[in-house]
Amino acid sequence: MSRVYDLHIHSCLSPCADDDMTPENIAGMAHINKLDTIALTDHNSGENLEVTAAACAKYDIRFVPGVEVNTAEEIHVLCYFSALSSALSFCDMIYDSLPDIPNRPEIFGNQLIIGKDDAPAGSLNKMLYNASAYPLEDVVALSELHGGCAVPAHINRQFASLMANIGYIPDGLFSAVEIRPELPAPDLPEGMKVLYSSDAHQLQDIAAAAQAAPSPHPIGDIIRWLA
Amino acid sequence: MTVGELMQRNGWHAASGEPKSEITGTIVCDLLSWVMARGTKGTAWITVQTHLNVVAVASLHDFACVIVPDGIEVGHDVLDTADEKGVCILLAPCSPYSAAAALHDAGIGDA
Repeated sequence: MSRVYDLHIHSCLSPCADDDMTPENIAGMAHINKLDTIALTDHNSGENLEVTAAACAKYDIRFVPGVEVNTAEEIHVLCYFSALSSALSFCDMIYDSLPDIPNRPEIFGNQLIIGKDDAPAGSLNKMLYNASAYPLEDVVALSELHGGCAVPAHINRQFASLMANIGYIPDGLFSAVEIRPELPAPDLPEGMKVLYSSDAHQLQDIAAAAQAAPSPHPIGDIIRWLA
Repeated sequence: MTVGELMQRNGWHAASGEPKSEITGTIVCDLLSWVMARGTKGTAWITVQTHLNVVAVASLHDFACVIVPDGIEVGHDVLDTADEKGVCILLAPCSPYSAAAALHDAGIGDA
């Protein structure tokens, strides 16, 4: 049985992702791997959300608009939304709060904005890998204000994660966490839900994760499931 | 003082790059965004982070070197990229505090 969802995927907008992580390619790869739900979670921006939603609709894949926020503490937090419009206004706020430091594509990679049918539509100027001005608790509160929910990403990774950067799971702040299955499992509070996703930066990561699926379970409406 | 001279003084080891640059100042920080906003050319950066993005940030500002303290090991993928980008990574067996003190003793101040 293969995994049915992948809620952590980067497009070519994220500087660290491959340039061929276009919306059409991501949707096509998700279709081939029989995923029924995917989220796009670029770093600190939602510029490619709308066109990825359209690409997923062609394959009847349920699309969750999301973003991977780098908090002021440099903790990566996945934020998911019910409505594309709410996701976009949340993402604008996050992007606006980034320091005005331009990306250097030759060092960090391209930040490609993609239009309809994978047509190039320019690139984003500010360095997306930077930290937003909002600390962790503000990111959670703001995502909830936008009808979304927040899930700390790859918490058992030793870099830019909840456990690496602050060392504990704050009481009552999260109802779910994302875990990297290949790394040692952390201790979790009772009842904490767990998401396993690919954190794909290359197309083949989507396939590899779908085939290695540690915990396949249908999640229905993601926002309701996480609430 | 050059990176090579600093290494010699303290018995530190260069894991990547050429220890030739002149050190102009020191930053001790583990938040990449913080360093990105404040780094300047010639900085010696002391950090426990060993992720690939450390190389990108050091390269962005043309740092003199990155000093990884506490005997922390750095992965081969990171060292290979650092070599490619000409980023000198020093491995120091001492604590970050002692590494900063060694820079101070060598007459190097804030970045």
